[in-house]
Amino acid sequence: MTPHATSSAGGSILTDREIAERIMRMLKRTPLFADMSWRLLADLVRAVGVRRVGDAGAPTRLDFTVLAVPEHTLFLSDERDDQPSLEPSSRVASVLELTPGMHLRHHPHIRALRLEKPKIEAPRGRAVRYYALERDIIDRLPAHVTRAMNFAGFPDVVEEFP
Amino acid sequence: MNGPRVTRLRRCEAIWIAADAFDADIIEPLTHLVAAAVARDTGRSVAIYTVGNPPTFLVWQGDNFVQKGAAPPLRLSNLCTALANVPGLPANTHRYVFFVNPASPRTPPTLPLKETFDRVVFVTRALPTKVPPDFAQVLHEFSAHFSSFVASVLVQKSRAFSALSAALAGILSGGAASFGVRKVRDEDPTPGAVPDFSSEELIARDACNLRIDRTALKQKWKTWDQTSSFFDAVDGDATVSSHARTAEVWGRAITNRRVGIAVSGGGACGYRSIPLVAECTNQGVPIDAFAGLSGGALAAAYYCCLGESGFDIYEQLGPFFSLTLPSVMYTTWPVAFVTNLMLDGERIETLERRFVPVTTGLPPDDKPFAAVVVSGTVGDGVRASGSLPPGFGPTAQDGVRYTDGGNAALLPVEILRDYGGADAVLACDISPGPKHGNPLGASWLAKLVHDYTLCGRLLDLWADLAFFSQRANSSFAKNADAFAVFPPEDIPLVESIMFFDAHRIIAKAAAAKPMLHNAVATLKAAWERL
Repeated sequence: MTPHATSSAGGSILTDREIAERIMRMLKRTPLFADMSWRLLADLVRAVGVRRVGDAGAPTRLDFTVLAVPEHTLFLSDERDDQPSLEPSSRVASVLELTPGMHLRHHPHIRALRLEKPKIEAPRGRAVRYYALERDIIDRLPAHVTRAMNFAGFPDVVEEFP
Repeated sequence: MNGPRVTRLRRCEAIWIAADAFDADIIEPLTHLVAAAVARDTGRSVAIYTVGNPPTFLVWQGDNFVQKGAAPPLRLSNLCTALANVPGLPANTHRYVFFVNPASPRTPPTLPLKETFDRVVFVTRALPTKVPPDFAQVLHEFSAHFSSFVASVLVQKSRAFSALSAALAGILSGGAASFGVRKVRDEDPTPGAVPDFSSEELIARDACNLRIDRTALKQKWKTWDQTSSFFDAVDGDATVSSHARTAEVWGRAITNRRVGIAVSGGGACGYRSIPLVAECTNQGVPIDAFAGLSGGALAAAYYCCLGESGFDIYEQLGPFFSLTLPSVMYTTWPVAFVTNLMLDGERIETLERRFVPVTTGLPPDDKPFAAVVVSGTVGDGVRASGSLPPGFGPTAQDGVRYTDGGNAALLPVEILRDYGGADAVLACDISPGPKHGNPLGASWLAKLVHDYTLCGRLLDLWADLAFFSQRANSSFAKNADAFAVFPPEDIPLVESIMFFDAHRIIAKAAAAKPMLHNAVATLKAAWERL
């Protein structure tokens, strides 16, 4: 357990608006979103929403393409596995510690875990805010939003008409 | 694991231009105008699908729309394929198909099951507060987001300004102002709440004003010989050519390519906006929205109403603004009155080029709030944005005092994005920082005054304020696509009251040509990627 795990819900002094702005800046720094206007990016964060995950008692199923973790650490594991202990000393190999930053599903480190049904959870006693763009959401976005996304970093994902 | 696979991405954007029945007579010419404007502006594939019996499918070929055989069956993949092979354009170019139903403009073209429009552009006479259900049905699930519903409001230029009646009204009301504001969405203290804009706010952000002379436009449509595009025919006719400019602004609003400039406050430093806008013109970058506060709002007002020619009036008024400085301690009404007089009483809510003045509301019994003036005369917008206490009298309305917008946001980059609908934003700090820690310089006399008299502390405060202003402005510009900041001044801040010296301020700002060029080039590059 991290020493500051008893902090209040949210875990930091950042407001939700600041978190949203920070997520936008994180997204903008990736090649995937670098050419998207701030206005569309702002809508992408608003439309999907910033999520909050509680401690280990409430793991959340997540099949993300893009995951932004602006503050603190999240844990990613496979839904098929047993609930892993979050104590550092007994952490099992199939739990990935997602430090603050951008996490793309095709990242070699995440792929190496061979996660079929990833779930996400926060350290005990802490709530963490994060942003996840799931693959089915990308499928449902209008054409002018996906046009602004540069899928060069995801070479296997684009199948165009015709 | 399976890769992050996205099964089908469409490179083709389906845009339905809709209207109520009473605007049916102008919907087809408007569609031709805006579709041509988008084709010319973006260089991308554009087509118009006109519902009828039979339907027509016109594809933009260089300089005009041409019909290429019978319209394909109404399915987005078919239309996308038909647009994929336009000569001279790469196959993966983004494509736009504009749909219009002239006979029944509010009845959508029938798409196959599960296909939806990417955007609906609703030509209307009043701004809706939510996406009407019949439009939401044919849009994707994020209908209020991503500028997917673009309300395009038919507006008329404000009626001519009567100086006499305005003066009388001002005297009788004791200089009262009359304007509407939209509060800037602030921190939501509710845990878990993300700044969630309402549909009304998003629709207002994405909306666009159209100043259309419907009689003239209809007449032009009837007499159009189709040898050139309708856009060219309109552009070449001085009596209706303004509609071509309207279509260009509208096209950028529809396609998320709207460009905006956000400038800081700084009194007479607002004159520094002039060379910046001139550089945008030189590099072919349009300006569709202009946000400012205080002196920045004053500059923005003249540009939004009259374009660059408005700056001539703004410059000539410099000495007048200097003369009003003693009186504005009592009331700022003269500033609003003269601005309205010069700008013919233009109203913010009817401008095609968006004017976004920022102000700070001080309700006596509630917490202060940041706000954008969204209606009322342009003069009142400037007044509300520039009432910096204690030097300027407050602008009061309904018991709320409105003061300088600099207290709400020193550089309104995010406000311009969220309330002015700009997709690419150039931020400009018009108020330069200090060149030296001692504003008096490095002479022995300056050193003597600074080091050995109590005035030294005031000089430190002077330099500190100028430096703080510069640092704070920079922090507000972090989400801008480009940032223009002028070289530091030997004697900072003083220039802000030197309205009479407008010509010199402009000339000095223009001398920062390399900085202006680079900032605008960065903006242009960001805009062209949109």
